[in-house]
Amino acid sequence: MERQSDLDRKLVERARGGDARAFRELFDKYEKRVYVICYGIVRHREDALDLVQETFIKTYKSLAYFRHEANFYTWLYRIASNSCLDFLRKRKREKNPVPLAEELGADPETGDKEGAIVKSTDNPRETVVRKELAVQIEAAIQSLPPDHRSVVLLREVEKLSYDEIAKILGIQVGTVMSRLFYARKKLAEKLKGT
Amino acid sequence: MGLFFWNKHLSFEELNLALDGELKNDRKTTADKHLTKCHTCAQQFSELQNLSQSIEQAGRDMEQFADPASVWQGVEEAIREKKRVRLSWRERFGVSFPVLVARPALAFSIVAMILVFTFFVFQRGTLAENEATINSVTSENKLVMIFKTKERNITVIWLADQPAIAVPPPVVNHQ
Repeated sequence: MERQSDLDRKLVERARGGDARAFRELFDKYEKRVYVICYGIVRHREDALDLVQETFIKTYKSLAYFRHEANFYTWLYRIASNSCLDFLRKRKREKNPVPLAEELGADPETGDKEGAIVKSTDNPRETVVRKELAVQIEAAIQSLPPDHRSVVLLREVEKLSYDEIAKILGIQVGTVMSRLFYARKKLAEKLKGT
Repeated sequence: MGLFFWNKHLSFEELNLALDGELKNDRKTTADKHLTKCHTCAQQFSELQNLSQSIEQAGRDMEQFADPASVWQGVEEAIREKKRVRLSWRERFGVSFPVLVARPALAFSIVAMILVFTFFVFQRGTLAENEATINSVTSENKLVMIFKTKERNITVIWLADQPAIAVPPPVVNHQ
């Protein structure tokens, strides 16, 4: 992990000096992760892609202000989550999100998951179970408030510590814990009920 | 707190902390010990683990819908735009080296301005609290003026066409 942050530091310094290739390396490294965070919060693919772009543009323009006091990804995720939460506040686009079932290739009308493109495993039965589970989890996550979703994704997908999540979202560690525990409880209840 | 008594069930919060590796030292040891002996807590812990893994997997599945090529296109345009804005500043002030070589008069004016500025920076200590100085030099039909106060430590330099009227006296009292 230390090596990763050192590598990021070097790339940031090069990008700061105007080296677009260095910034491209940072982009390639974190783009997918930022997408997961953005999609996880806004639940709309096109909006998520726009927000990923916005996040990296803001990051590039603010490189001069980055002081290496935190890891680069902590700073990047903070920009991403703030952009998403601002977006939701402004647009209220949650009324018609594109559910993950549709994203995964399932028929949005019937919910038929035959065409779903969840990565296949060697075991067809396992693949089907995973597709169904992904749809259920999508529905469960969607039922959470956006600020709870961001905590869940940063913890479960990015495996960040409570302290890192608190720094990214600008909240207390206690708030991270309460949101995470609440979200897990709700998700467990939803998944048991399906 | 259940953690201090190994035979009491772990709370939901304690199970979460254990799952996230946020329990330290004695609390971790006690929780681990309890989970090996209590079937109920072990069952709940296992369910939380499964939930956590499922969400992680769903997140990984989402990654494939990221679109690096199209997103990078927009980012790259923004980078180019930022670089272009930087260049236009250089163009706006005409300070690039080839321009200075091509226009000796402009180069001379700038050098003269820098020398005058440097001279008055070193003279700063001689001013009283409420005094300001206005100094001017002319070069190639241009007028360079320096306004300076000790109190605010402000120095303003500007380049203008030489006026037909006389330049104000060099020392001015505010009061």
